[in-house]
Amino acid sequence: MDEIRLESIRNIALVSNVGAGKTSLTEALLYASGAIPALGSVLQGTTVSDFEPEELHHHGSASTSLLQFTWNQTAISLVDAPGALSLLGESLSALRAVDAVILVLNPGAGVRTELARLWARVQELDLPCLVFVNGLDKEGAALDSALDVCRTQLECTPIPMVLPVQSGSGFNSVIDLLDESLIRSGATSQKIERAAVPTEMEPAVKQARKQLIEAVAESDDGLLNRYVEQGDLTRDQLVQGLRSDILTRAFLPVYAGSALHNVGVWPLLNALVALLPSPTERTALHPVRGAHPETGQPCERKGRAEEPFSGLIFKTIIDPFVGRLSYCRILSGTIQADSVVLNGTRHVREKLGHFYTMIGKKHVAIGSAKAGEIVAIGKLKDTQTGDTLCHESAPIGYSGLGLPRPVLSFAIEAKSKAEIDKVSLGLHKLIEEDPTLEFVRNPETKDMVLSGMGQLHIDLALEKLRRKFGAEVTLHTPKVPYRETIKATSQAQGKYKKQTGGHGQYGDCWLEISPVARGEGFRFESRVVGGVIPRNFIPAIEKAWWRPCRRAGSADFLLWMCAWRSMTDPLTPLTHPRCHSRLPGRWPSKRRWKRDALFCLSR
Amino acid sequence: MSVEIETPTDTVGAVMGDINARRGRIVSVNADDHAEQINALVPLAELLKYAPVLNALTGGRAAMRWSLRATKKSPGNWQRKSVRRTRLNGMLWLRTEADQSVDLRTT
Repeated sequence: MDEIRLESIRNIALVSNVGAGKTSLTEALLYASGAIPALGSVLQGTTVSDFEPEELHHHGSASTSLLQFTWNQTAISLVDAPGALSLLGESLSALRAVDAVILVLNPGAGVRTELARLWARVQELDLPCLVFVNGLDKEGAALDSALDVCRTQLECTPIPMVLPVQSGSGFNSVIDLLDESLIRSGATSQKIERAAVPTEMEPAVKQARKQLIEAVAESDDGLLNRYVEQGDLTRDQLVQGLRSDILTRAFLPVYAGSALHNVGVWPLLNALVALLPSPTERTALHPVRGAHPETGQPCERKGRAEEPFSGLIFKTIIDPFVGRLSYCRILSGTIQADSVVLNGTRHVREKLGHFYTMIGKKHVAIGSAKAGEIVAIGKLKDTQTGDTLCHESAPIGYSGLGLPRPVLSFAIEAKSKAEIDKVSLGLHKLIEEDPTLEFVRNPETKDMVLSGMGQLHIDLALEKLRRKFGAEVTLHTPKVPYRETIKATSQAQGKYKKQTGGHGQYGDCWLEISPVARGEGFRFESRVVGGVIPRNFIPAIEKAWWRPCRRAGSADFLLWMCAWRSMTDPLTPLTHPRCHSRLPGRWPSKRRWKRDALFCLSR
Repeated sequence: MSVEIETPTDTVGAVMGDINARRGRIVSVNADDHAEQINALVPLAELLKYAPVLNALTGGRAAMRWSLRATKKSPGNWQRKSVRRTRLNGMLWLRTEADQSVDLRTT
């Protein structure tokens, strides 16, 4: 890859409702830039961004993919995260790695929950934003309805940057308001045709351009004066004004077209380079803040290449060929592949593997990376998604990705005994890729519990488990770890006799069980007097009681809040310690016990 | 379990009604700008498949967190049901004396 200056980098994430066309737009941008020879389609499963079998099967992205290409001597990294609500964790992490966002809207669709949550995070991070209104090739689709959505639901001022010409079927051109020219393009050719604005559109174009210029001039006194004097602004002045307005989020510039038919994508591609901020500009406004991992002192990085190295891992994938790949946004400094750094989150040294730039599943090895770039780092051992990597002499830890906690749990069971190990190994690998999954064994109910953000999330995880690790599982509702206690005092006698051969063994012991105050737990006390049960046998009795206590009773629940007292029948001393450990097994009559003494507590 | 639900104002009624139907007890409701926060105590058994239900009730606009708060006595019919459902492998025998029984509901 050619040497790239820091100013000519753009890191951009796409956010939208599920199914709004993020992956299609990514594909169209790649196609328009010449990075790929043919325009793929999500429905046919031919896009660069969706390549895993689960994504092809569901016709939608299931994990974040990174697409890096160059346009106008600028290295563009697009982060295409899935839109589904239950995969929200992926999109939220992607937002930490980028300097700007393309918001993809569908006319008539409104803002759904997933987008509302993402939009809240975009506002929190103060990320500059462009809008692309997708799907104008559909019958009845109109740009105005999308503008209304921006105004009412996103509470921002939208300013159109292009005007669609005759949307609906046969839609093939947009008018670029910056250049005041018509741009025609299609899905079969990477080339665009320019033409003059049709006369019937001229009044609308004039008005839209006036609106654009006024919006730009409003936020800059110099431009306002020039506009008042000359009645117009040059293209360069407009671009300059737009850049600063986008950086400060004064309004939302709106592009429009159809990603499926590669219409209106070219102006957007140019806008990415011309209008969106580079990492330097963004970090100048929002320096990245972290804390010293040991002292907790706040530190700051300005995002310059001369600073000590630091970076944030925002995604981990297990690649079938290169193994583990960690997507890292370099936040400051320069770093060579194969060097040793510190993991500021876990306080361990980490040897970096090779560096790669990614385009979907394809990767190209590179030698070094510097501030502002996104690279995939191979073979990290202890580093997980959300960790900070930094130079050993200047440790820093950035805050984690702020991922949501899982809300839906299932108990899973391997279909065959041979697969039990595979299930647990496989799920731990999947959790490395997706930290919003959780897999724990409940020690009380012995359930293996898999938790995720929703049904789709769990289903996708199990599909991956089957494909990658060949493990089939069944899902159940997890058991509730009920607890049991007793409500009354009770006594019982146990006897143990063994008279065959050698000296006979004989034991006799009375035990009393009684409730104690809530929260006291299990307590054992001996009330043996006069040494009728020798002192050294008492621990054996306690141990023997503790075991059934843990797995007590009719419902196999934890028994607690009891005091056990061991008493003896004064007549018969015990003769062998082993007989005590067998005593509890001798208690008769499960039926009576079930009937009488226990009730359970729910949680 | 102690449950904390954030829901848009227009669906508060539906969520609260559903919590009551799930043997839950609402502790407090705090109104924010567009959302309300409901704190409630609900048995774990009723929460196992709650996430999809909450999504359906609120159109996916609610968020939920839960944590173990305390154990409470289950209702009698519930006890019988859950005890019957599981294996009977207890090995203890106890003699109860009815007059000494302790009611844990008050402790």
